[in-house]
Amino acid sequence: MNWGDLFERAEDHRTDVATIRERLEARRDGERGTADSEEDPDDA
Amino acid sequence: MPETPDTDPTRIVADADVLVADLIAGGSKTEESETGGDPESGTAARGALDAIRSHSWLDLLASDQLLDDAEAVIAELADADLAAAWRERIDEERVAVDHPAGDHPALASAYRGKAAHVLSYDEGLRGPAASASFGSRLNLSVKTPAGFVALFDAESLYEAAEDGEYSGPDRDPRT
Repeated sequence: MNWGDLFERAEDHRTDVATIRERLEARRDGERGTADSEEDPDDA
Repeated sequence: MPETPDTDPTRIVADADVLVADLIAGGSKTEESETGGDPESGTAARGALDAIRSHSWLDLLASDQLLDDAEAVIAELADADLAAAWRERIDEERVAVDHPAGDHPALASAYRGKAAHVLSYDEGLRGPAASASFGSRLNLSVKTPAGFVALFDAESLYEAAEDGEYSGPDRDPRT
């Protein structure tokens, strides 16, 4: 699929940068939390 | 780790927030008029990525982890089908780089791929503290998409990095 078609499909899902940042930070924070707990033997 | 690795000005990393904004927050003429050039608007992300897509001699670097982040956010905010279609297309376009799990995907992609530029909306990567922490050590410039677009000079960059004379964009950014 070319970029033009992708952008057209994405039109129905438009959002703002603040929302994107919020979701990305939540994902990355979650991954860090998971990694931290996996590394902590006390959590086992 | 060398203190100041050589970087290539034609190699660019867009953090996951910029990649997602390019797809689902950029390009609307309505938003462009409403935001009046707001550097945090998604329109700038579309402009920055269009500049890269329009020039075959510019490389967009990304690790799998970076694309995983963007794909997950697209799936969450839009839908899984669009996210999968985007991933298929960006996989064709990006130059893949590897880095250890747990590293910041954008910074590590830039470091491993010797990129000179990172585009991000993350203030934590752009502030004075960040510059003091890694800016000079990685020889890396972190900008908002709007900052990148404002400073992007394809002709000067081409003449500095490539042989011959710049003859304008050589790719359709919508293909």
